[in-house]
Amino acid sequence: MNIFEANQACKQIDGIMILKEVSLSISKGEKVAITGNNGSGKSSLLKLIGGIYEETAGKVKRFQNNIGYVPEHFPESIRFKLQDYLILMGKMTNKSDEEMFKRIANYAELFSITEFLTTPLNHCSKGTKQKAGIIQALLKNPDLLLLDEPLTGLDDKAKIELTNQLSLLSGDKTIIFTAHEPLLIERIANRVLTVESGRIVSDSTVKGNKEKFICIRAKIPAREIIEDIPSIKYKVIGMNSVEIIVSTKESDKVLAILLNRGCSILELTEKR
Amino acid sequence: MSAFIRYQLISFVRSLKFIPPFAIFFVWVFILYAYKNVPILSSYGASSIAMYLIMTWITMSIFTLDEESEKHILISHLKRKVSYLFGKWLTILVIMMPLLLFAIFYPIFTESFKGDMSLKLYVYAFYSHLAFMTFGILVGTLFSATKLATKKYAWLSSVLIIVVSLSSKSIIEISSFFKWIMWIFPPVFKVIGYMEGEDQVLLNTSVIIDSVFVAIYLIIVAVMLVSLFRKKER
Repeated sequence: MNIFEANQACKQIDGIMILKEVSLSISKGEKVAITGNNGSGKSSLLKLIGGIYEETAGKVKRFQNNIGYVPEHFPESIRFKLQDYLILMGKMTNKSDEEMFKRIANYAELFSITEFLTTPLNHCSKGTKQKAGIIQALLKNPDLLLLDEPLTGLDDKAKIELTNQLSLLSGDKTIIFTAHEPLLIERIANRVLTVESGRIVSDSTVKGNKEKFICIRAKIPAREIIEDIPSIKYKVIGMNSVEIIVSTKESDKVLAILLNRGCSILELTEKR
Repeated sequence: MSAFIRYQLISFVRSLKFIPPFAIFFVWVFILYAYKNVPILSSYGASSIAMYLIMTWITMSIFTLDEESEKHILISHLKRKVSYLFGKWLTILVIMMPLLLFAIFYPIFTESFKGDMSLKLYVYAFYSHLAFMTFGILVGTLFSATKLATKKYAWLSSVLIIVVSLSSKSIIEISSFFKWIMWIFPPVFKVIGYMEGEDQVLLNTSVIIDSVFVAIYLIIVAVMLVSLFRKKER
């Protein structure tokens, strides 16, 4: 099922044609990377897909309106604490407060920013702001997630961390992102669009590079011992059992840490 | 929408942008009623004019509060672009209410008026303040939420509109040609024209016709602004 269709769509801003004759269709569940040089029209194409920009010529059909948008630069002048900001953004879409608070707590844990929840956003690091930007979009539970250069300005560690967390997100979401760097494209995208001077010059499907994940079920002596393990998503089951999801690349390292810390492995399954 | 309004109100208060217009408004009202036994209608007329200027200022501050990327995030949560405009207008209405009540009741509590208030005077006082506040909101919106907002002299142009509309009577006296241009400016004299002289409001045909004209003017301008906002956000 297509969620976006464009036929010869153009976008002009202040007399400059920034997108030219874009013909494109995107299906539900696709993970699309938009690449290209600076000023090539990547962000504009992303905004056209999301409806932030509307076409000045040609035809565009958007079949969804539940969009989560993450801008390239998280706004600098937001005057809220991280948690207050997320609550207000969440309340704009969520009907139940209880469910929303739970989701904020879960995402804060997933993105490792729980300790900054009471920090004013303008005192947070670039990486924390970037994660806040992603969480506000996820709180909508969007069908289509648009990310504009999500790794810009992050250090290498934060880039790997954020890429891991993005790749752990639900598989049925359509994710479209602009990126310069191969890391995010290799790990997440199954389709790559290349834009040059406002035109799509290449549209390729990537096969077999989608990262596989391992689901580890383990018995743990205490919850604290898994809290500092990087690049994992975990869910505590019962008193002393945990389900950990980790990329295959990292799985050996995580298994070694678990065994060293006195955990016993109950089950290992492959997941996509 | 209530979360959006709360977001805007908190953001506006924390930006401290409310201080200059609020301070000027309160000082204006205090000075206006510094003397006792002042006429009712012309005093309300003067505070209505203050509201016109202040609401233009507040509207422009509210519309320039969000960065471009912040606006895009908020629109994505509101789903429709036009909800952003309506949300901003509702925020301005919330800010406007205490100012309106203060402008109406301060002189009554301080017993500054020469005569007594009547129901007709209350109705006309609320009407004139609300009309001038709406003029201000619409002028502010024109220069901060449409393509005119990106122009260099947006703030100056909005002041020009206010000044021209307030001096429209004298401008028309210079040459009747201006009469045909003046109808595009907020029809302030169709409201304060009845606030001179004696402290009584006559509910005659001309007051009713002028009030209907003002209401139609406000609706047409509001509809035009929605379409200009949509055009800007395309």
